[in-house]
Amino acid sequence: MRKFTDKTLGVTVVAVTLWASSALAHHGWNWTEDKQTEMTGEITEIFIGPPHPRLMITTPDGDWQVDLGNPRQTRDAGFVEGEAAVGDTVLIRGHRSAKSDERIIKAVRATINGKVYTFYPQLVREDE
Amino acid sequence: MLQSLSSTLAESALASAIRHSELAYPLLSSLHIVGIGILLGNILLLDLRLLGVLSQNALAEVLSLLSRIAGLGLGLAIASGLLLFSVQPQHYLHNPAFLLKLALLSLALLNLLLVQYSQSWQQAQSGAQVSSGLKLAAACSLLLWLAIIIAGRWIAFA
Repeated sequence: MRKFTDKTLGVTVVAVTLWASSALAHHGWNWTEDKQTEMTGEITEIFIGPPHPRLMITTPDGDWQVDLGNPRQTRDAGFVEGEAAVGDTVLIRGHRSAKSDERIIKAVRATINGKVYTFYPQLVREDE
Repeated sequence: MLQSLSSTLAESALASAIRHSELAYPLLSSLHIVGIGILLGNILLLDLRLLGVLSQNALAEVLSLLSRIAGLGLGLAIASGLLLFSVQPQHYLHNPAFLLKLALLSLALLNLLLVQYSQSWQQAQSGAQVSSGLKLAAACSLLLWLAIIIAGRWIAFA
């Protein structure tokens, strides 16, 4: 009985770990499209803070969630409270979710009121 | 009512301090994990002993100790969880995984209260046979706490 329990526990731990690590991929770029996309929208909500700064925007194509950099990357990009307001127009360059029904874009760069905020400078591609 | 409560919480000085601090959120997040670790580690031994999956007699003697330390972990997890929640309550109240976690948490707390005030739990601590009702509660506890962890982890992906 004890042996059986140890084995079961072991298998469970391994299974949960594998499953959890595949889910964590969402925080990197694995869940997004490879190509960069641009979209313009009107800001409806701004959240700057942990765990993840984001914008909610309305575009001709519907409502999108824009994931910015992590709190430090977002601050380093110059995007701090007061930089933008609800109602401002934003141009996002980034990677859309690979799931076509998931309206989330992970921003590499945002342009608001003529000011450019680059969250991932090394990832910006201009040639697409 | 819930709306105004959550906006009061979000606008509190404490929530604002956590939002603006680079250290607070990661530290609170770590405390939350420590609380969960203490809770789950102890509840696992406790429930498996009640279920008879673990049969060591030494465990039977520390049932009340396991329960009290699990309670400590629970307190830590709830306190840190409330502070993490305060950063953007409105956002979490619209998150299906978070709502599921709250529902499961209510069930787990209800189960916990029923056990704490049951006679069979008092008797089990003094070495009596574990009643079938208490075994059922232990199985529910185990499943609920694991489900709560999964639902909690899912908040970031829902």
